[in-house]
Formats: sequence, structure tokens, C-alpha cells
Amino acid sequence: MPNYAMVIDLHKCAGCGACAITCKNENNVPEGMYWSNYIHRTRGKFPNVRYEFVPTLCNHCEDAPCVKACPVGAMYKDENGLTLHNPDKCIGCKACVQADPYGVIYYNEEKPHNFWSDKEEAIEKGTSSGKEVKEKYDAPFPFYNPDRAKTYAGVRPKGIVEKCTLCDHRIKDGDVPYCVASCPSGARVFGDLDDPKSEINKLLNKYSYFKLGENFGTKPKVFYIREF
Amino acid sequence: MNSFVPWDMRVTIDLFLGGMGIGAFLLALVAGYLGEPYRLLKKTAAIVSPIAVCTGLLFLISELGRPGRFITTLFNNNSASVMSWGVYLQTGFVIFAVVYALLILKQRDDEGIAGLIKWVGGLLAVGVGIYHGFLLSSNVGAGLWNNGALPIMIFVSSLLTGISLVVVINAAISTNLASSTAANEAAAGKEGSTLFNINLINAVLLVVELIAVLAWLFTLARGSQIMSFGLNNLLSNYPVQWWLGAVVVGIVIPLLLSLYGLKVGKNEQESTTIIAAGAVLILIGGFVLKNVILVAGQIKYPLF
Repeated sequence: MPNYAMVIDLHKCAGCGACAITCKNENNVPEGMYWSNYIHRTRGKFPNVRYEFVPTLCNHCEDAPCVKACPVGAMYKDENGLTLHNPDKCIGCKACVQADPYGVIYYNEEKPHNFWSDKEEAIEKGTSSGKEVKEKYDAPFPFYNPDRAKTYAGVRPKGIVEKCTLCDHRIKDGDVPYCVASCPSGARVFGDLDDPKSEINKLLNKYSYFKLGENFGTKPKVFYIREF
Repeated sequence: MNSFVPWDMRVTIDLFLGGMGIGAFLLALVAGYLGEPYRLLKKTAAIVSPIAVCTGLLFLISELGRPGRFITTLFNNNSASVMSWGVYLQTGFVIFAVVYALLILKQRDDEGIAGLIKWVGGLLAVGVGIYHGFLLSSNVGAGLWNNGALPIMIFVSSLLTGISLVVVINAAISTNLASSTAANEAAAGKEGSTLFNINLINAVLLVVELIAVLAWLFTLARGSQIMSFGLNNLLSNYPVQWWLGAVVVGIVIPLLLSLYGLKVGKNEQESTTIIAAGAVLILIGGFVLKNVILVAGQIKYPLF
């Protein structure tokens, strides 16, 4: 069985944020949540200033604390090494959100994509309301991606959490996660950690790497190479 | 990074009421060994215990995103999950505590199966008390929680608030009852049985609590970056709640009061007033301690 992981080449990353926005499209991720995300910071004092940009996502840790914390087994490791979530089991206790040191598990406090149920028009009798627009589509909301529902809830309902699945619906068909496919500079590389010939293993052998929060002991599987 | 704060005050209320419930149950067991003069104290403690734990659990269930699914926690278990342990410990405890309360109400708590109920219930009470701390300390990214002193602090706080709740209720249901605690102590003293002094129990527990608090603060201050980040967040953003509410009101003043109470000895009126005043302070401080730790501990350590 494969052991999926990701390598992110920080030298190639241009900081465009495409991964964060396309992920939302692919996975029907609600407003305010980013399964694929980035951290950025500015360091130093003028004139020696450095701007750093680090793309992030669920680390699909080998020893995932969210899986340990979940009281009902809704958060689990699958046979491909992915950390996945079963929305039908989830009770919304948020123990996983608490246990996850990376802040990559999101809780649906409100009904997601609520804008498309809103009857209010931006300009009265001038523009359509969210609800009117949605009614023209045979979908939960206009840009809904039905492919997401192949392996996970198409839209995760209010009262449960949601997280990155490394696009398990795409990789089961031999494709790569959408953040990898949409990265214009090819900074995100996806592959099997257990396959010595995989592209990610070649990169990990060639360059030194770091992982976020390694001291948490969670054995994250997102590797960063070529730190600037 | 997601900056959402997952748990609101309903979790504090559960930790507080649940802690009081197990503290009251253990007090009932201790009072049970002291014979007839403590029957009233034992009865109050045993009845209050399951009520407090169940009320806390109702708050906890209401905090779930899907409260209707709470029952699934009984069969969808995860042996690695502290919360899952808590489900079984609390369910078991509530069952035993309710049976024990019924036995006391029917005055059948000294016969037959009651001994077994007491022992199993007592073990489950200790389990629930420790579980509350483990629930927080198991979170690897939470610097304020992820260490060994925290569960001890939470457990001792639960014992103290449980005892105090029973003392306050006893004082409230009758003007005579608070003094009857002291009267009972005097009676027990006269009878030559073990001197059961709430001031003494409180003093011992408060000293243990103070040591646990110091050990916790020291561990955090000299610990990893994550720990000192957590401590810094607590001390800089919640100094009044922590120092004044949790430490001074909840531990230091009640400790001084109970030491003074021990000095005064069996002077009935004074002893009763001191016990009641200390109990109210312990309840306030105990709530503030659990709440401030829960709120401040939920900050995420910046990864980068």
C-alpha cells in the first residue's frame, strides 16, 4: 500500500496563493476555512528584511493526534497513510481541533455556504439574492464540485468538523491533489513515501528538509525543502 | 492557521460540576466511615454528587456540534482517545453514584451490595477526576496543558470544590446545619471517634493544590518554548483571573482561613463561619481556575 506524502519546494513557491484558492473550489470549502493554506511573515529590520511564505495543509501525520483524540473514531488513518474524517460518525466535540497542533481542522459552527440561502439582495430589486442564484443551479451552490462527494460529504454540514483529505477522490483515480495540479510553479510535489523511485523521495534525498512542528512528535508527512 | 477557539464555557462548567460531583462522592465515602454523626453530611454529599455530574454532562452534550449523536460515543469508541475513556468512566460513575444515593435515601447503605457500590463508585470517581486533567494534558500542542502537574491540580481542585459544595448546601438548607457540621465534629470528638475536621481536610488539600500549582508554573517557566508561550499568554492576558481569582481567592485565603480554623479548634460558631466562608471562596476560585486554564490553554503555538 502506498504511503502518500507531499514535498513543498520553497524556492519554487512564488507565494501566489493559488493552492489555497483552488482547494476551496475543488473541495467545496466554506468561507473562512482553508484546507490548503499558507503562513507568511516578515523578518528582520530595514534594510535587511526578509519575507517568508510557507504553504501549509494537513500534515497527514503518521502519529496523528487528531486520530488519537477523536472519541468516536470519526477521524482515522486509511490504508494509504491519509488522515481522513467520517462525517457520519462525527459528533462535533472538537477534540480533534483541540489536539491538532497545526490548526488545519475546521469546525462548521454555522450552516456552510450560507450566502446561497440568503434572500437579501445587495441592491433591492437590482441584483439577485444568493438564494435566487442558487435556485438556477441543480446543486447546493453555484460553483459546487460534485466530484468531492465521491469519497467525502460534498458539503460538510453544520455541527461537524472538516479537513484536507489530500484530494483522496482524485488520487484514487490516479490523479494528484488539486493544490499540486494548480501550483503554477510546481512547488508542490505529491507521491508515495514508500516508493524509493518516487519524485518526492528523489527530492528528499537530494535536499535537506524540515517539517512543521517536528517537536510535537506527530511525524508529519509534509516536507519542506530548499528553505530560504 | 486556524485561530478558532473550540471549547466555550460549557466545557468549564462540565469540568467544574463534574469535579464537584466526584469530590462530593468521595466526601460521602469518607463521611460514611465516621458513623452516625456524619449521616447528614454523607446524605447531602451522596445526593448532590450524581446531580452535579449529570448537570455538567448536559452542558457538555449541549456543546457538541451534534448533541443528538452523543449516545453513539458509547459504541463508537476509540481506545486511544481520552474523551472516549471519559465517556465510560462518567457513565459508570453516574450509574454507581445514583444507586448509592438511592441506597442512602432508603437507609440501606450499610448492608449487602452497598460496600461494592461504594468501592467501585469511589474508583470511578477518582478515574473521572483524573480524566478531567488528562483530557487537557493530552493535547500535544497546548503548552499550558501538556504536562503532568495539570491533572493533579485539576483533581485536587475537584476534591476541594466537591467538599465546599456540600458544606455550602448544608449551610443553606438549614441555619442549624452548618453549625451541625461543627456540632458533629464536637460530638465525634466527645465520643472519641476519629476527629473529622473539614478545616483539616481543606488545609491538607489546599497545601497539595498550592504545591501542584507551583510545580506547574515552574515546569512551564523552565520548559520548552511551547510551554513558556502558553504560560506567557496566561500571565499577560489573564493576570487578574489567574493570580487574584484562582490563586488568592481560591487557594491562599481559604488556606489561611482553614489554618486559622484549626487554631480556633472546636469553637463552634467561629469554626462554622470559617468553614462556610472558605467554602464559598474555594467554589469561586475553583471555577475561575478551571475556566482561565481552559480559555488560556486554547491558544495555538505559532508554527513558524
